Amino acid sequence: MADIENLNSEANERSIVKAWRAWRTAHEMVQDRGYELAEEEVKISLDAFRTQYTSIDGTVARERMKFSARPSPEMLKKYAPPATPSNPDPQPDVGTIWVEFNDDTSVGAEAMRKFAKFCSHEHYRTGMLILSGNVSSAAKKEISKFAQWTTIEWFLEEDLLINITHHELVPRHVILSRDEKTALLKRYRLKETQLPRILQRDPVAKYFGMRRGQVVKIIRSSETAGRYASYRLCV
Amino acid sequence: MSKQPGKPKGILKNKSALPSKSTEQHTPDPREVAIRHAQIIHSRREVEDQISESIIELSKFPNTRDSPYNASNPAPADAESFKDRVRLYQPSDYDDLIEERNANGLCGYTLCPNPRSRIAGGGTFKLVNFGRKDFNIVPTRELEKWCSQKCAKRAMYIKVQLNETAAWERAGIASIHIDLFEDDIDATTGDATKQREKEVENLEIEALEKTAQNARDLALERGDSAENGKMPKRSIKLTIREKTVNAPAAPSLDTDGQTHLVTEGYKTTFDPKSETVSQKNKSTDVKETTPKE
Repeated sequence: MADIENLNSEANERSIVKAWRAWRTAHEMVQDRGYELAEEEVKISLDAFRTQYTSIDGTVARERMKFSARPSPEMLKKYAPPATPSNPDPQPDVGTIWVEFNDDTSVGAEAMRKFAKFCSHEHYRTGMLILSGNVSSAAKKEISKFAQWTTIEWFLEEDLLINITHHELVPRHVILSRDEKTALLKRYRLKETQLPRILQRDPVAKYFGMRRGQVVKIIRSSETAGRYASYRLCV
Repeated sequence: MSKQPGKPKGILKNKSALPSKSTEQHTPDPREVAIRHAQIIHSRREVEDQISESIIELSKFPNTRDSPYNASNPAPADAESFKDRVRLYQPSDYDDLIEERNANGLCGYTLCPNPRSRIAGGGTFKLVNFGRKDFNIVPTRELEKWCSQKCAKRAMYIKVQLNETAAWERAGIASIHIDLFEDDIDATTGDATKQREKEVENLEIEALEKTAQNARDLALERGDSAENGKMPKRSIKLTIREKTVNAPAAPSLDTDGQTHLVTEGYKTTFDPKSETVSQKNKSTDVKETTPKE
């Protein structure tokens, strides 16, 4: 009996640690994208996490794990389309982000629709779903239907256990704003299509929530040149 | 310009005449064309939405889970609405539906009220029918889609009836029917007769169409011009002139009683001088003649 209890608490402990790491990575991701988050929110300690997000029986209360973040002024500036005479004060195409954890074994179309409806109804421009189970193909189709109102992204919790951008083999990625992109194309006299490409489903592109047409600057350390920058167009 | 003798005449068509003619004849209003295409796309989207809507709805089927009804004997209302909706599906949509039902923890067959089976123990593959002729190694994922093999069969029976063509092309065709898999033999025979009836009906319709087409072709061949959709009456004057017929004389029975000797109109005659025939005659002749001598 005591053994079973011991096993249970051990499994609970493991699941709590997993949820905590995913929670931290999600916060880092949101912060790296340019949203405003307090430092103590991002660097939450395991004990603080345990007191806040576990229920009485010691399991993780994933239904309580949700947060939203507002974009910082720099991010708003970065994502604002260039001003034109007809539209002198363009609205940036980013807004508040909503992040939610989910512990269902698999997410169906209905659950996805509910989430997307919630996000679009509450005027969240981006909705992020962090799941323990997989997403059905019908649910993936639902995402594109709400693209007009809200961008839905989903990650598996097990993929967020470590922050991939902190790995030593992942170079620094910097997303360029529209002005920087036009400057780059002008500087090298390139057309957009002449840039090397990066897929939208690339792990790092997913991490930064890149959209089609954005350009990312990748800064690698080089033995001979010190630093080497290359550019990728998201397709 | 062509009147000047030195200058060669171009073989190309007169450029100025051509486009003006075509524009005068039919200038499709670009706005109208755009609206028409937008409406087509809109209706396609509507059908797609309808399908994804029905996937969500069917993923919670059956509505009645009471004891008399099960997968092999579904509630009639459920079966009808299922057949009505799955009619528009492509096989891929049907796969989505199965996946969606599994996500809800149900058996992949829409009319089955049971939960999906969970195979104990890990492993991506599972041995089925071990030690038998139909032994097979199957991915566990495939097995876990259904509550039983029977349901898998029923579901696949539906899937093979689905069509790959896009849903909006089939939406208007009323003759597409999906049949459920029937377990009992009586039902299957009834189904077979129904199927046969349908085939015969189709054949009859085809034959009718064919005769109509043939009649039209013939009319064209005769030179009837079908104008305004109706056949004009042909004005041909017909006079029927009877021909006098000399009927052959009826055969009469022969009076001399020799007809039985005639073969195909030829009556064999015997040569009186031949030896075999004249033998008897000779002897009689001899008899007769001797007293004379």
